[in-house]
Amino acid sequence: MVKRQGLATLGTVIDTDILIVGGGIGGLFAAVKAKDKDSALDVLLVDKCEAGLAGPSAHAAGIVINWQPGDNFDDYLKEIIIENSEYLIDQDYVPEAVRQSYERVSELIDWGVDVQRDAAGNQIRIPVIGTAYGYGTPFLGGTQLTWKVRMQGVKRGVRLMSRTFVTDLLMTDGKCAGAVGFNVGNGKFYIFRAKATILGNGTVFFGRRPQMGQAGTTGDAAAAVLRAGGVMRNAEQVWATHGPAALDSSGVHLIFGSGGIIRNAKGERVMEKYNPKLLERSRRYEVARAILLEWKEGRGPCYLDCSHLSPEKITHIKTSLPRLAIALQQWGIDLARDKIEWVPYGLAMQCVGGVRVDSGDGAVSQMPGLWAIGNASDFVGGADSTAATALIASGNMGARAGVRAAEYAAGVHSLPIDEQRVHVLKKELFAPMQVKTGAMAHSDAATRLAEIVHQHIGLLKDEARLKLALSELQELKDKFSALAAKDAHELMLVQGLKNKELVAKACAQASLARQESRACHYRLDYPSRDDKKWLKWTITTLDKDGKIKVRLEDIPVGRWKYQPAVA
Amino acid sequence: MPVKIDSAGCTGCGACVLSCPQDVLRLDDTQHKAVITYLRDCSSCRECLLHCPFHCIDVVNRPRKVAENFTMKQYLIGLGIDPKQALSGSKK
Repeated sequence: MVKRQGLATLGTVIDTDILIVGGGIGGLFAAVKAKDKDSALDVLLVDKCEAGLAGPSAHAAGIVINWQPGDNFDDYLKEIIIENSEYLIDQDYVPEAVRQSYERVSELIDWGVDVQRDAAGNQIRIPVIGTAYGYGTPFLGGTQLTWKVRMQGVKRGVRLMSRTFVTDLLMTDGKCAGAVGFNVGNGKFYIFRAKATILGNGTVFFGRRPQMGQAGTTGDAAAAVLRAGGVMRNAEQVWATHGPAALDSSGVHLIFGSGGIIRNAKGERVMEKYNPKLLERSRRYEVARAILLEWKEGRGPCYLDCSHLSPEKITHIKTSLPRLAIALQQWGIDLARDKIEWVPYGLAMQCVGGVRVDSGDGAVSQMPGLWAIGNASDFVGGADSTAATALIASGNMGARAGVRAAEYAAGVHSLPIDEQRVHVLKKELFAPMQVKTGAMAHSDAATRLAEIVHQHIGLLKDEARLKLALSELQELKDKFSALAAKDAHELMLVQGLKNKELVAKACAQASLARQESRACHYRLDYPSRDDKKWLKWTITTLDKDGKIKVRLEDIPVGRWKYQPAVA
Repeated sequence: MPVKIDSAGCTGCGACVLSCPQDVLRLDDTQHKAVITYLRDCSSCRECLLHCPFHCIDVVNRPRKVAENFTMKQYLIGLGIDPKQALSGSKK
């Protein structure tokens, strides 16, 4: 092992007790609660952009799904496990997560997050999608929430580091010793030596170009953990939401919670066929898939129809979704009268497939000193829009991981860092800046990756196209040595692309392995769910030659309360 | 151009630079004002507009014609549907 002076010749060495990667709601709660647990610990939160201003949690349209005393508990749990996650979720996790969602929302309100209230001052709760029993609390805008959590961290002395992309983990004797990264503005290289590391740097979004709030989510956590010898679970579970064709917009909870309807080209109500119980309030990926199936069957395009909604509801939608309202006004579209074309959005993993964690605290399987929380983890297995799996659940997982990481860090010393490994990682990372002109542009490679993923590993999969995807991904990867980056910003894009390619391969392989349809994973050649043969998780790793390996593991439903009839 | 900065009104406070999740904006080295450096990466999220204390940023959404919806085109190609045919009749 190498002395500190050796490392210092490779980059700037930063020591901390707890390194938190990603300043979304999960990472921010982790930082706050780590400090609450032990204020003497040094907590450093590093974000690729600015903590509290980026990622999906900072751009949530304005609903915090949460359970509160007085809401239905038992039926809600059962629905989350059976109908929503289709038995993929860890059933030990759900009850506590649902209950704790109330604690977290209460904290947010105490910290000054503005929630919508009625004339009497009571919190407004509205039914949300994906559930017959769940509710959400509307609040005023995404960054208003995450910024308030950030300020709680600042108040407690959390150190913040911006514009820094953490690219790889450093492991010593099988334990996490820290990470490496670089500044996306000036290219400075950093070596973080940390007693505990929490990955809150989100999921993968497979779009070609950034979609609102999603640019930083390039599969960094899953890719780093795979490269460090760790494990992904449920990698076949690729999620999508839906929205207007002409504008990237969030807001499905509000629009469909208010009663919006999706119709096909014949004017038929699409979701009557696919989920007559929840209709447009079905899981988002279910609706996205339904729209695509309508196209496949020749009944596209599909449209949002709000013509039957009251003027008050129309006003409420526009007030709560100002970006959409401004765009509609600019285009001369009247939500009360005109139909708006509605499409599936780009694919993401959104906490349904990710780094395997052993508990709701986010402890990464078999990697002491490492936690993965929120969308970086896999814990919520297929469920969509529930108090145990949505925005507040990421915050709750972060809170729990922060406490555990603080307990862990207080009892260990920093581990020595392998200088040779740092040297190799740094060389690989900066290689694109040595590539000469005439080489491959990032934008071309990004477009090609997005084409492959959306064509073949998308909402409707089959064996032939999954195999084609793997071959096309390999063809693309073989060209990566020609990817050029002229500055640190482009290096950020190139590294993000490499992470996305790795996770896309994991997704394709796991999708091939699961020969049935369940939750976010749908096979045209195996369209039914098979609880007799497929109560299994897919477990994905990277072997020493860099090849993706997938194995199956039984889901331990036998020891849980809810089991399908065939178990 | 979805993002426009009124440089006469810009004081170079940097709020927009900090707030952009896509690292699109930087402060110019000579004039010390905000400049759009990586326009291609802009997703029109409006964080810059919302954070500018001097209201000198404008973000205009050009509606994307449905036929230009990249993601939808790829989904259709994957299913063997010609997107040019399928999307040609779609309005906003």
